[in-house]
Amino acid sequence: MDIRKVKKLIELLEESNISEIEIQEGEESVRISRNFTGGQPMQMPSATYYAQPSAAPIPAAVAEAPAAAPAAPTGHQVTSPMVGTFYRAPAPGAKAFVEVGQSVKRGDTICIVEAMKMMNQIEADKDGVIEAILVEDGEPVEYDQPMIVIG
Amino acid sequence: MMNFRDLVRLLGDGEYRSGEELGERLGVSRTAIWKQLKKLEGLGVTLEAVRGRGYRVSPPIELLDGSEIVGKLPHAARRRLARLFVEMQLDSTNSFLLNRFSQGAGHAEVCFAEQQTSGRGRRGRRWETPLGGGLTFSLGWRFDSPAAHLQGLSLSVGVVIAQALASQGVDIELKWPNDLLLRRGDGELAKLGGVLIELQGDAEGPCEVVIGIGLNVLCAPKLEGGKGLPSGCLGEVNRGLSRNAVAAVLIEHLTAMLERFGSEGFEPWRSRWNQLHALSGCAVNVTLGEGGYLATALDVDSNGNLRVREGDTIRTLAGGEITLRPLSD
Repeated sequence: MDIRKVKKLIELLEESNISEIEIQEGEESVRISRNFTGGQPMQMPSATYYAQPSAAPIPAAVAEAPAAAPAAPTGHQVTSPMVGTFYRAPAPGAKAFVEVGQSVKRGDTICIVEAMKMMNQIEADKDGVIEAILVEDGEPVEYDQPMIVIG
Repeated sequence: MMNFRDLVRLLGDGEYRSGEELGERLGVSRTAIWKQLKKLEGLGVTLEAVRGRGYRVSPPIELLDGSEIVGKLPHAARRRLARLFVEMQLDSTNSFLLNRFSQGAGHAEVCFAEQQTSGRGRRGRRWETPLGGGLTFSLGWRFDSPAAHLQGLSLSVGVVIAQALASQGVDIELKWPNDLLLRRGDGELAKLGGVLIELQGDAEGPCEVVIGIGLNVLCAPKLEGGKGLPSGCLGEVNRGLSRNAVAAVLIEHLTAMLERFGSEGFEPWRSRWNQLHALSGCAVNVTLGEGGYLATALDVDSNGNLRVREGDTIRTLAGGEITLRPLSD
């Protein structure tokens, strides 16, 4: 970034009330701060929030799991936070986030609820095994409707 | 490693420059320049080469410039913006900001990319613009409220984009929930871009929202498949648009809306949305999953749901898709 740009940024900072400005262009980055202490402290990256659809192999036990008879699942129900449309995969034709019998960790994305083009990534709120998927891909869901059961 | 951005700047200022001159200015060999010129052509840029004079890009490309964008922001908007990223190439600006959130940042951050290698549309649809032809960017915001309170946010995004563009001399219309449409002289509607909002976080709040916007500024991408509306660009109405100016005015309006939305919800933008509704009173196809029906589009309610009339029944849509019914149906 050339020095004229940096000067311009300093001028911008001076004429406005902000304490810090940061611009990043490609590999160049400049941060100008009024305080000698700098901006906010570096935060530790929080626990991996949005994990990739688990690449872990699906346990072989799936085949024997009683998937055909969803006898009243007893596990923990993940409910929809909003009225919308339920999706099992990130895009049509893509691999589903989870399948029945798959182990999930708290924080893994397990489905998407779309409400008016807002794609809401729903995360597992506990560790466990997917016991049941209660909604078909592309079906509407109501607020608080159970979607997935984690055992 | 030479700076690709500098090469585009040198080539895009209207002057012809020889390979030798470019090499000297950028401190690399002519062979390296030649390779970069090939790469540029691969990005859909038309290079004019004249024997004895050199190369130039015509029409010139106005690259995004972080300090110019910030310089155009009014003070209040500068204060709202925490960080601005201007990247030459990213896989996806939405993924970039979702990643920033997972590292504890992301709020009030805006990220532009001149090129996206895997830009995503809704439900994985492809969306690409030639270099310098459009704007692709994302904006991150953290809300304290639960996800259910963000109903209507995507419609508010459409409204403020329309307001921002109106200030640049381009009046657009909206299709539910937030398609950005241009009504051409003959009444035909064209699609100007798309909005993809991704949300994550706790059901009780707070939640983190990434708003991804792709806008055809000076040229329209060719869409795959002949379905749906044709694509158009803002340049059809105003040829003299500056990409940096459009970028600034979008940041200004979007951040102002986001600051209010957390406490006020969709209601302040509702009547404006209804005024901008391109299909108000039109016969439409409503598609819900596999099924669907014919209806007349009405207006949106305070949650952003679309009301339609099917026969004598008024229905309220929270999901599904609306397409304009061709007259021949």
